[in-house]
Amino acid sequence: MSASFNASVAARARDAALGAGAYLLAAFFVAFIFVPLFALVARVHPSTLLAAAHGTIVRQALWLSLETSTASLFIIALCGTPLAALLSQPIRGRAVLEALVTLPVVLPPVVGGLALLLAFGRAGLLGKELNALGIHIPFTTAAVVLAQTFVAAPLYISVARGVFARVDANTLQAAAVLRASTAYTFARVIIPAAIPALLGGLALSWARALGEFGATITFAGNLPGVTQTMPVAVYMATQIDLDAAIAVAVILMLLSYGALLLVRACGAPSESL
Amino acid sequence: MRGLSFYQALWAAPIAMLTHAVLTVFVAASLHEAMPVVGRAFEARHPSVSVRFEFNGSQLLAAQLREGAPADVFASADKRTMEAARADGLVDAPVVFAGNSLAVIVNTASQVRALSDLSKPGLRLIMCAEQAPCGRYARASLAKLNADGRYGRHFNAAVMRNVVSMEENVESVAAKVRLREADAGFVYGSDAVRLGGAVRTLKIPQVGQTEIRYPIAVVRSTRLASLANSFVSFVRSATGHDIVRRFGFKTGLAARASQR
Repeated sequence: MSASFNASVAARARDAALGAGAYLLAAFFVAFIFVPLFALVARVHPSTLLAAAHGTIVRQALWLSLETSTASLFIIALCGTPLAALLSQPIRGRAVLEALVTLPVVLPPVVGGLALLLAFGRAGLLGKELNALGIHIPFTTAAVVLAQTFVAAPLYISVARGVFARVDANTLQAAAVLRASTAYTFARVIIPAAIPALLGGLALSWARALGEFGATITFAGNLPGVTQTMPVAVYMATQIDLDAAIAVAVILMLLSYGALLLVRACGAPSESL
Repeated sequence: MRGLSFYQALWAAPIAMLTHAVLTVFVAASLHEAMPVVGRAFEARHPSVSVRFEFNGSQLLAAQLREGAPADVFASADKRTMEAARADGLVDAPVVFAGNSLAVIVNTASQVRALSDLSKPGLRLIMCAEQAPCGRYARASLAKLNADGRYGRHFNAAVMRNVVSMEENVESVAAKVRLREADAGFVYGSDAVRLGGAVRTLKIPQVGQTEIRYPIAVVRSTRLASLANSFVSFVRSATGHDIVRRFGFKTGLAARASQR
């Protein structure tokens, strides 16, 4: 965006701020992230990796994970975008609402799963109503999607809210001068300008949904092909064959990394994450 | 400080602080109510010791030992997990200290009245995953009941079709039946005792029972070997047995089973 704009001034300012010590700290932190992940990859023999890639766990659980996290992403984008737009406005009680929407990130995921069970379970708060409609959620694939949505949505909403709040006032004024309706402005002016950053937020939410474990195993349980997502499968596999489990985890990790890189390549600017 | 003179008390406190030992005991999840009581009784006899427990699926605890987790004593819910740990040189020779049975618990609102009902289509049953001892016991029991034939030739398959989740340990099976999310679940007899009136219990007939034994062993890498050994002895003492029996475990099988 403004990167090419007086780049030399920015570069000089950054050089001043980042001394050797800062570089060292940053390097330490990169190593802190990289070393454990590399330890996973280093532990796996290529043949184990290959065997795992063809195994039932990967075929069944990976597919389920991709399906459910995509469904979650759809719900998050559909409902999260208007909510984020609302939260970017100076409405009354915004702080309270914002904190509420962010809470699932703070809660231990297992507690989130328990909360979902106590709300949507057969004996839960809405159990009677759902039963009357013939809807049963726990132990189904839908439960997996709800668990992922519950835990991952706040990440996107928080990014999107920031993006909407930063939309250039001049752009909005221009739209107003041209007598564009609010809805038109939102759909045709704000959204296109925000898309790269929103994609970044969605990627973050998707990654969180893909890795969701605690809420899933609590609310949806563990049944291969129905509710056993990759993280749950990896966890169960660690209990018999650690190396096979690590191989599966590495596959999940590489796929997620690839997907995140892809989102970057699609043009999400670095400051969106 | 009961029975100590003033001067004894003066030096007893710092010495207690210096000699205070923390014994870490890895225990199968199904023992999570009984073992702390055993631990407190042990502490009462060894004032300079505190016992710290870690409860989880036996297979998880064994995996943690394999990765070098610091523990002094390991109590598993099956011989298989313990024997694997023994074969890997992680523990000393194990001894059996308690036994258990298998039971089915049913939520109080469910239509399930008898064991034969478990094969009715549309029920939501849960059991442990195959990785956990409780999951292996449940599957073995169903196979035995099926072979016996009293509930029909397809009992095992029909029951397994009703299984909606394979939980990581017996605690979460019990929790989901109590929350009435599942109609019924396979747990230990001790869980049925512990849960009391919160659920209904279906007894599994003798023909469907499998041998459930809890071995305990000192972890090889312990730095508190003599203390760990006295804890194991205490668990197997009359006092230890009395405590675990109160929580629905069986005792008195130790002598016979520890022969192997």
